[in-house]
Amino acid sequence: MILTRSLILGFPLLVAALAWWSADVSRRSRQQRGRDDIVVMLPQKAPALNPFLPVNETEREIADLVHEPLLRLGADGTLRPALADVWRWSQEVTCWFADAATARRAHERLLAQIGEHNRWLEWRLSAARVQENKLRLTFTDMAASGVRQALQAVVELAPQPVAFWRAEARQPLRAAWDRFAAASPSASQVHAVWFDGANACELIVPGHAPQLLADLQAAFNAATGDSCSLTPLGEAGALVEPVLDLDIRPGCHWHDGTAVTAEDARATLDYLLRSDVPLPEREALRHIQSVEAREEGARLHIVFRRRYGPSLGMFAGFPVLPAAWLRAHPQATAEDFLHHPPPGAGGHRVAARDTRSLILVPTGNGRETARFLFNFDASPLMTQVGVRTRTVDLVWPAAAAGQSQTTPCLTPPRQRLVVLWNLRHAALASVEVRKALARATDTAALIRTLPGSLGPADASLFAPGLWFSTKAAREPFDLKEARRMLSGAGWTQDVEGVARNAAHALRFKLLVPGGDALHRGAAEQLVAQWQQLGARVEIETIEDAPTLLRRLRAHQFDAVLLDQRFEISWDQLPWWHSSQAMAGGTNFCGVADPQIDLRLEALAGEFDPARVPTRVRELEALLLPLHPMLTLFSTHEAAAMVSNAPRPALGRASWTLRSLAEPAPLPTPVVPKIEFKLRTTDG
Amino acid sequence: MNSPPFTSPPAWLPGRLVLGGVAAGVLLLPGWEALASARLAELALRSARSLAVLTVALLLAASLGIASALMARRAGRYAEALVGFCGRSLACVPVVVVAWGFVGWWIGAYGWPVETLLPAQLPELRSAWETRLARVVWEYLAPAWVLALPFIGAVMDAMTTDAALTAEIDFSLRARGVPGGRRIWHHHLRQMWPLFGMRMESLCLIAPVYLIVVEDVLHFMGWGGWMAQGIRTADASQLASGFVAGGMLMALLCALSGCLWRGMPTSGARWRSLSWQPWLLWALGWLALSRPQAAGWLFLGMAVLASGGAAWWDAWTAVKAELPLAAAQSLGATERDLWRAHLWPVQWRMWLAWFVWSCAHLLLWGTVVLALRPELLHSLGAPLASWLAPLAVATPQDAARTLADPTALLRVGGSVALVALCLLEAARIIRPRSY
Repeated sequence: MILTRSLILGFPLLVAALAWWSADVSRRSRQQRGRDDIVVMLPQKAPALNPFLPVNETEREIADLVHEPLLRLGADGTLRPALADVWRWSQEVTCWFADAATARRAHERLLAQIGEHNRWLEWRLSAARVQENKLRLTFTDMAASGVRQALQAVVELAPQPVAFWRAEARQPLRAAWDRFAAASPSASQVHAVWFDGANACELIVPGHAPQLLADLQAAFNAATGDSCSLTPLGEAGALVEPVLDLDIRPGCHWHDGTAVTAEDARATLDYLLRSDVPLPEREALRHIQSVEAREEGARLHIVFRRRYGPSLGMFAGFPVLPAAWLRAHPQATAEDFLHHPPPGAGGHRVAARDTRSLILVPTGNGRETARFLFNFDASPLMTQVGVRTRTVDLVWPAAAAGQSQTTPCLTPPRQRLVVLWNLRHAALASVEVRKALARATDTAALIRTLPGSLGPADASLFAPGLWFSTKAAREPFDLKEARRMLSGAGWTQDVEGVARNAAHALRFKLLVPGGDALHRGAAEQLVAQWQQLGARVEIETIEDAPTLLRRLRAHQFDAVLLDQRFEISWDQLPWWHSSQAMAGGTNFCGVADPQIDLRLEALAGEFDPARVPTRVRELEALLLPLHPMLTLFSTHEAAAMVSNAPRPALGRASWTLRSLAEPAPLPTPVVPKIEFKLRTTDG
Repeated sequence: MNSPPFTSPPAWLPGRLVLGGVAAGVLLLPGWEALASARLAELALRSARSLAVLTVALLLAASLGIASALMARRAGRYAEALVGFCGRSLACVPVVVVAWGFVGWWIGAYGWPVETLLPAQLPELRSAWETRLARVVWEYLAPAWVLALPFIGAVMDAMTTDAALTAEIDFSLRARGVPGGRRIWHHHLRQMWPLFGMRMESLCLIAPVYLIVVEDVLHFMGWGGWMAQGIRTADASQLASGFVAGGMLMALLCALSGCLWRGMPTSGARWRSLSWQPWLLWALGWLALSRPQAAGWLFLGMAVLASGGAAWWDAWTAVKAELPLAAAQSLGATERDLWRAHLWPVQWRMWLAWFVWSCAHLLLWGTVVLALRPELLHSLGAPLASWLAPLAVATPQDAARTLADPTALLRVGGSVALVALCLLEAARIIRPRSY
């Protein structure tokens, strides 16, 4: 009886005591937190962390902590060294001669010309060497006039012209080219080949080579079982190729301890060129002719097909992965990134990972000190519990946190919503009308009333936050002024309230991409706002992207609402150059101005990032007064920060996970102002 | 959960439960591919975790229920009646309210942790063995205590109700000078032991279903969480494999119960074994898959009727056996006279009591359904939907509100418990008893 009673009464007491002890220990352990630890709660599933194809902003930012690009944007928006600590542009000029002796003679003649006045520095020529029948010159300056002078020095020795050919077929050509290159002795005459997709390639052929071209066409025809077209693209006296050299920072290591080399960067670029990953930098990648790792893996040598300065920006866009991993996963899928993740070279490494959590710890290489703990698949209750018990610092997205005890904050914008005007439209052709419409647009009301996390956007053509961003002021909302401007331009309102001039009523259609509530809502509000001005606007929804693109290319629109994705590029030529204004071009608005064309060309050919801001300002000074585009607002993602989060950095209005990981900047020490002067002895 | 009238389980109950689980799984998704495609290793691990929680919870409920009922018995008749009433009241509180109430009180008011609801921690903070052990223990004990609470009430009710079924030996023991403590803790307990074992076996069929709600609210990674996910997503293969695993879980619990409480009488009637199957668990699965949703509620009603059917039939048989039917027949009463004069006056009360009892249980099971499928709230009528709305915690705002102030939830839980208790008390009053 005593035993029974003891068991019946003792068991619950024992369990109660055990529960109390365990709960108390658990509570105390939860109160111990590192000051620099950041705990993030996310309702989404654990991401694959594919740095090239992030599903959302969260994955992009986590991947950015783990993986490192060659270059990176600094806090001030300038290009900063990352895996590459030095980069430089140069030009490589190649001349072909009839034979090696002539090439040597040309070399001697060139050296004699240089030596006469020591023109190495004047021509910015850094090297001149002979390889068989080729003379190769390397110029350190992209704008060097020495190229022309050097070529003039050897022109009397009759350098052979270099021809550019394009082969196209209905079947893939790469295998056919590989077989031809291996089997045919004449294939060595081809200087370089570049594949434009699977079914087309371009060849650089020096000299007169009819036999080579005939053999090549026959080989392609035989391999594809079809008639392959081989068309000449052009001819030049010498091959001039822009070259970008990136020196890999010494001491960079992957998280598995192996050293980062240029071969890794080359393998990554090769992987991206071969894959069909929809990268924003895809178009810039097309300019690459060849990539090599040089100086025993210390230098990445990239040869470009054309002079395109903004190519530099793409290296800040995607990270480098280890060559060994890319070799093991030539067709890397999300599963590969999830189950066999590549080691990164970023400031944080993955310390632990499972289906519901991810721990990132700093590697000690950079300034980052904070550790991250990501909790995925968090239910609303877990999120609330985390917020209430202060065991969470960040809830992403903010909507998952509810309202209490948190501060919403926005990520940097990735895109913005704009209205493009068709300058060929009878009413919209007038600058005054476009300006009045901009004045009558209350973007603050749009930001306030539309769903999502929206922020103000400036009128600049370029992405905000970069070193060349101008923060151009947009037209302030002033309906009275807008009406006055419109009537001043001869547009008066009729009895129905529609603005008219002598020939037209202010009526147009606004093309809106379908399937997005934000687009729809914005379009409806814009129509209502412009109606106040006297414009009658009809919304036309286009459901599929190809139809929309076709309409834009054919200029079959009056105005269109579009998302403008921000890129690290200063090239605006495709959107505003008059050569793109014809049907099928990408200058949808139809801007055609020779002065603007010159500025656009100069900007696209600018290789020096330091000179870009000036050129951007010059372009915007001409283009913005035309009001070809109306910027509305930028779209952000919002996270909720727990109000008593321990890190001061958490209070920033706009942030990234990377910015949270870095310690708050120390106050700048006061530098004593001591004026140094050269002391002269003669006075 | 209030105990139905007393009935004895069929022989080889664990085996029948396993077979029943497999049959339900196959019926839900014909073919074995469902089980093959399910993540069996994960399910096995989850089931083992749930078995641990269920065992501790049921042992807690048994020990606390027995202790309080026996102490009340020693204190006197009124105390025993009061404990019985308190037990019934406690058993009427919807399990979702108990779980959310615990979360709101423990975390919301006091800020104490529930391991499974808190974010993971960085490695060095969980490296000390003492901390790791405490966390594991608390991870299991938190759902065990929450689950035990309604069952403590059920055991208290069962102990006080079933005491009336035992022979009255207290007087003779007292006359022999047996001390009070021994009379209760030895003699009375030995009388109650087999009856209590049968009650525990009936609780073993219900406890896993309650565990689904508890694991879902506390995010415990067990069999219940698996089932809750399956019910939410209406995943037939997940539910089918969950039925099989659930049948095995119940079988193990019943086998354990059989080991602890030996000498339980068993019933030979085959149809009774149907009543001793987890109809409510199966109803939840069918309800998740049913289109339209009204059919799901019908499944639930039928499951409630089926799960109480054998007990109510036994109760009716016992009452009928004591009716003077043979005497009336010998005096020349026709079948019609017998039915009108003797059977009908008792039978309608039995039917009515069963109906009222079923209504009470349907209400309580309805709260379980709403906790797991909040969207079904819209399939109820407007007044019922607005009354039960706080039980459906689906959005971050709901969770935040409940965590910050669980008053609305507790108020609804209290009113549901009160209505269910009134109905059950009414059923007890209406039900005819054997003479």
